[in-house]
Amino acid sequence: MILQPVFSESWALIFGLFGLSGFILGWVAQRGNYCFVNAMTSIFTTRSFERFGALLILFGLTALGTGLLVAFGLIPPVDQYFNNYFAGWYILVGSFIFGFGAALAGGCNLSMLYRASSGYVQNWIELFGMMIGTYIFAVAIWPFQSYTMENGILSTSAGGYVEYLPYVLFHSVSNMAVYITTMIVALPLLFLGIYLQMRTRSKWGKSVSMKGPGLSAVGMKALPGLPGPSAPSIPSGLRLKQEAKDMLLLKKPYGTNLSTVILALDMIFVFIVGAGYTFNYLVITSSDGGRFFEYILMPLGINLFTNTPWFNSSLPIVDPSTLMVVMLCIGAFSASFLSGDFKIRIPKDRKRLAIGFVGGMLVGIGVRMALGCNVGLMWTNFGQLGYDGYIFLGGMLAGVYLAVKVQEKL
Amino acid sequence: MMSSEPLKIKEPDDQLDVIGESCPVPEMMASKKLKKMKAGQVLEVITDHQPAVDVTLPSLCKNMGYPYVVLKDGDVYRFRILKVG
Repeated sequence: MILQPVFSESWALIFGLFGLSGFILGWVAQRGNYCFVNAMTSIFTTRSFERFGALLILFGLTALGTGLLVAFGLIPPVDQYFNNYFAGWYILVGSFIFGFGAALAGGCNLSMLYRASSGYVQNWIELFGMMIGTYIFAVAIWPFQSYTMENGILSTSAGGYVEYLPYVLFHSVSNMAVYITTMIVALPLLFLGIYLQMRTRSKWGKSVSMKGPGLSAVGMKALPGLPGPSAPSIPSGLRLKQEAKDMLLLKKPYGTNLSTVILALDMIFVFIVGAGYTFNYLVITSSDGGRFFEYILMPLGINLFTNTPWFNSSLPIVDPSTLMVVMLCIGAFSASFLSGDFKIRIPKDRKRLAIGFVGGMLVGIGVRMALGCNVGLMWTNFGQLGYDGYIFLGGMLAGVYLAVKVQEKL
Repeated sequence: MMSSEPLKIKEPDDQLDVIGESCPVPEMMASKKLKKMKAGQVLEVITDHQPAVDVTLPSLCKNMGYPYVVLKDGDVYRFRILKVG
């Protein structure tokens, strides 16, 4: 099926808006220190669900926004399910490898890119490892994987509406089917996310009352921009104004939930802008990361797209998603530079660089097996009202858990 | 009320240098170190990763119920955590 553009903007405007969206993604993720892996490691290291709760809220808000746009007839359902991938064993295995590698290396695909742009050499190494991992996947795994996909071995043999939850649940893509499914998907995610955050904060409150007020950030008041004890003499309205001003002036990072809301709106913005152009939703940080390896080799006369599996069937060299990734990096660099946070940082423990490379290779293999990363597949798929995101979430959590246990032994 | 002075003055019992590292590494490594330490001991995490100082290490301390103090030392932070029983 060929999609018809919902809105008749020019291609130049489409590219521009995708670029803007990428810039916002990089800027907000950098200012909010948004990391999917970190949200998961903190569950296993400290039993803290605050940031994981934020992730669930992100998925819920995204599903709610896109689902309602379709349910109320503003965007046709085909735009929502068109890019749903085939589900299969490879998403579970790939997301597990990805979670394990990302937790070892120190960043998911989103945080790898914005931190690499903020001067973290560890994440440059991870990015390079990911390129090599993509090549290993392409020559060693993809031929076998594509065979299982074509023959339906532990895999569905079609994506699209077959994996669209309104169709799966109601055998319909009517507005009402989409509306009910949106509620079924979004509301539990939102409630669970809020519940987990409240539970964690209540635990923090109990700890403070049990251990005494010395628990609060003692001595932090001397440091600008740090969350020190609240001053009871300042009215809350005034304090909020001051916080907002500090955030605008880049003196203070964005809070987790503020970042969550902006990122969800950014994804919904991409959905609207891209409706009808077939590439909507695909915030492809992993494919482009892997494809940069292809670009690097081109000046040496090596053209992977002519003779190497996966590369010869992957997406065009330059498309709006590539621009989005580039603008993500520019947005992150701008935010870190303007806030004074940019600095070339090399880990003192050189062993960490080797771990970063190995972790990056696993990230490259994992994301390609899973047909996408935590952004392009997991987060996106919640907005697509598919079920691949749930599979990815389970696999990634298991991989991160294993990496935390392995790190404890290293 | 527990004062911050002992944490500022007391010589740390163990140090964790995670300069150049980003999240989740400081939190994970600090959690690992703290598990091996005894109650009453102080761990000093040296980091230049602002989000670790703003978010992840305080979150770790709040979850474990450990008091902490942050000292700025040039380009780096010394994040001291007191392990309590």
